Amino acid sequence: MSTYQTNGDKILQAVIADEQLINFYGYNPDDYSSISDALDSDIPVIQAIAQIINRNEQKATEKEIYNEVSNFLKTNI
Amino acid sequence: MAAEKIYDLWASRNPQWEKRYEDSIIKNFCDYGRGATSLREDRGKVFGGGYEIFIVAFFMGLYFNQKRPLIEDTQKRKTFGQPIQYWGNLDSVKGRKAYPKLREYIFTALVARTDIDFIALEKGEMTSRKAVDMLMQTMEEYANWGFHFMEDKLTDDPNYFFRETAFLEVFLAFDASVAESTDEEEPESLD
Amino acid sequence: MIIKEIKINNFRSYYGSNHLSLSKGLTLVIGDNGDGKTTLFEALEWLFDTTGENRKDSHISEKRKSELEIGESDEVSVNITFEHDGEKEIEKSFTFERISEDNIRTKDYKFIGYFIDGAERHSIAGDRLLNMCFEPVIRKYCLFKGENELNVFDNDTALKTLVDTFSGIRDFDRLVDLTSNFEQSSARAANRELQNDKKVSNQAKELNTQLNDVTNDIQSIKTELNQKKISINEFSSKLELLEKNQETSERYQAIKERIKGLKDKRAKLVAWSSCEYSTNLLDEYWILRSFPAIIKEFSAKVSALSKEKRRLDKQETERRAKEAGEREAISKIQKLANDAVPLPWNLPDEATMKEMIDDEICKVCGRPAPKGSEAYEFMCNKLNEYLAHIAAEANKNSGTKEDDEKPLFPNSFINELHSRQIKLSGDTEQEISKIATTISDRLEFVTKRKAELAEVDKQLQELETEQNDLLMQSGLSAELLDKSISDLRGFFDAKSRAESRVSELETTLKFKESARAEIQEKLSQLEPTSSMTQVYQRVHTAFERITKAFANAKEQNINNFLQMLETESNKYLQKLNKNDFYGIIRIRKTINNSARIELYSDNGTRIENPNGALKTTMYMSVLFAISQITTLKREQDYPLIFDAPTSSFGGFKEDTFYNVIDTIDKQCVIVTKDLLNIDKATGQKALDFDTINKLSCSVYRIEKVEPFNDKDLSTIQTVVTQVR
Repeated sequence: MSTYQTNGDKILQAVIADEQLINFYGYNPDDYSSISDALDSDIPVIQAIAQIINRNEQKATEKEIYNEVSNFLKTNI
Repeated sequence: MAAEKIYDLWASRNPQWEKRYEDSIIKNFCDYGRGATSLREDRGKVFGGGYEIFIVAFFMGLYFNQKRPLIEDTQKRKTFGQPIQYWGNLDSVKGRKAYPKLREYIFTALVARTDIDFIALEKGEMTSRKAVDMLMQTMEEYANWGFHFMEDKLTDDPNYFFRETAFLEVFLAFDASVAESTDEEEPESLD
Repeated sequence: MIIKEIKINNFRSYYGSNHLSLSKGLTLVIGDNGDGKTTLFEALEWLFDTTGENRKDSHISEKRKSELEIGESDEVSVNITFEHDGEKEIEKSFTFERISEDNIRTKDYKFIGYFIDGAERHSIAGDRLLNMCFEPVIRKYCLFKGENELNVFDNDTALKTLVDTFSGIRDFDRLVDLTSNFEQSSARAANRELQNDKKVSNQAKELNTQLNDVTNDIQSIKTELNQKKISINEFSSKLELLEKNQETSERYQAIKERIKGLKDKRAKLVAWSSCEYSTNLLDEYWILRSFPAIIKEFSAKVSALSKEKRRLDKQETERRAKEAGEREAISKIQKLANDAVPLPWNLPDEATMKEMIDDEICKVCGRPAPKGSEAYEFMCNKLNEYLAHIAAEANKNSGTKEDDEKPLFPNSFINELHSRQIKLSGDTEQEISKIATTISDRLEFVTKRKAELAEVDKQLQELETEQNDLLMQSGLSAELLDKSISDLRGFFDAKSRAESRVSELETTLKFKESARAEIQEKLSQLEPTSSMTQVYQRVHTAFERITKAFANAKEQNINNFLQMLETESNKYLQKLNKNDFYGIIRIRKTINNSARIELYSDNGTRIENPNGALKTTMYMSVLFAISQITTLKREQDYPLIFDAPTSSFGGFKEDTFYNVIDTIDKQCVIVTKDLLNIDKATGQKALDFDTINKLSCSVYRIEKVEPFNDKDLSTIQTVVTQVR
């Protein structure tokens, strides 16, 4: 492995590799190899996933994560 | 009026024994002085009524052919609660069998071993009472020796007769067959 | 991490200082039970224990302890030097000092790690270094004590731990839960909006109710399904256990039957070997054993008496008869003598005399005898004399009759005795003479029964020992082994029933789930007027998809891991079993989120009960695979240390097996009883050099120093010798 992948990065990659997700939202999973990449994405669902993973790593509460992400989705979806 | 039988006269009597053997022997091996013998097993005694050990002592004296006169002082003697005619009538005592015929064998032995002038008795020159007295004396003296024998053994070894085969062993030591003496004569007669 | 050397000082049977140098490949440590194999293991466990200060008295070598004088002290220590990004060392120790004859004090506990940084050696807390180089979760998959620990999936959390540790991705579970909750929350939010929306509220409400109902149904179906699947699992394990132990169970039950038979026989023998020695003297007349002689005495005496009585009686009778005869003769003579002249037979009798007197004539001679004449007087006198004589006779006779009536023997005691004697003779006497034989027969009988009883008791004890050994060896409980075929059937039936129910439930579940999907679809297709509502719908949809993606990713992760594990395991299995049959390992996920290691043959059938050696290599392959995966993920190697029982390795050519392990690029330590031959007769132990010489790995021997006393720990000392 050339670049160091955090656990979060690996989770992200596993999740966004999901075929159905790709079909629904039409993106190239290779574009996002890290959380930071995904957080900058303009595809809302990618960002949302990255936010969930990231905030969870940062030990945010379930309620906090839900509010943040759902509000994000409301404004962006 | 039916003629009186000497056996019946004898059987209605009650032999005497020395009080000194009451604790050391009679109470040790029998349920003497306690009433119902059905609890014998529970109390761990070898025999039931006191007369049973008397019978055993009697036979010991008989087979050893040893007598021992009773103590003169009659204050130091006792009798059992039951005359001879009831000895061996075990009414449904758990684990025991009645042995009524034994009385008759005892009587037989007494007749054999007591020097009564039966002819005189038959002629009426001696009272039947006197004859029975003599039988009783034989009986008491054989038993007295038997008690003495037992007491002796127990002094040496307090546990002696408590071993389950101890009593039987005493009797196994005597000769059983009668034929032995005749066998000894035979070789001589061949000469 | 490669362990280079292990040093053990005064730890239990390892008296003084002992060390082993480990090779990079396989190191074999050979020793018999009790020689110190497990202690070696436990020394390492003690060293690796980071849970707290641990300086037990029981860790100290008894032998060393016993040598200490008061005031003297020594140290217990276990130390390893290893390579892990440079050379490192970890040591745990404590001091023990004798303070009195019975008392040892422990102190100065140390747990220190050393590492080299540049040119300098630094020390650091032992647990810190250990956790940096060899964390607990890794250690868990490196040290294996005994056969039972080899199945790495033995507990339910094993899979999760493995996946979290080795799959490279942690925390999927949490995220799956999170997103699932988000989906539900957003669903609720969207539905609330729909129900409030003017246009679609009625439909929304209706659909929501349906949705709730079907969701509840699905929930209860899933609950029941889960329960049933767990039950099926339990039944399967029980069946497996029963089948596996069928043979043992049959043996156990056979022994049980025999024990019962013997116990019955024993009860009979106990009854037969008892005898009422004392009361039989009376009750069975055994006291009459020596009585036949007395009977003979009695019989002789009574016979004599009887004879005597008869003799006397006869004598008396004769005497009386004689007397009576004499009297009669005398009276006859007297009768004659009353007349002066003996009269001939035709003498006149009284009547005639009276007649003659009346007639005044003697009718004998014919002379007249007128009254007053001499002749007349003579006749009267004669008559009077005659009458007087008659009277006197009469008196005399009556006196004698009385005498005659009085018996000689008024009593019949002798007759009584004689009857008694007759009664005795014959059958009675016969019976009494048999008593001696009866007694000796009975005694012999009892003696024989007692001997038989002793024999039966011996057999019973042997059987009971056999039974216990069986229990211990199999490690199963008596109740399990007691289970018979009918139980097997019971479990089988119960399992079948549960399986059909599961089938039913799964069908219903599918139906309900598609119904729910339909309702959800309808809900999402509702076109509310409010745009806000639409937004909520869309957000929910997004969450739905995200949740699914996470769930799938998690499953995929696990599957990948298991796949990888399976593949790697099979590589090792092939190596380890080389030319022998080996089969294919499959690692299956189970209901309760765990996994099972199963073995299949080439044609796809499952091998239910792989034999000992095959099973062990199966597990070891998995362990090697895990170790390999660890190496890949961590870019670090870790040693595998096995305290292996030989029963698993039986059936192998040891040289092949160990040589193969030696070639695997992994440090491995195996502590075993293998290659140690014990002469059953003498108990002598000797290494199997023929095989050892074919090995490529390094070999150590550990053994207790002779002489030693098993009951006295202070004589026990394990010594480590390098063999090759």
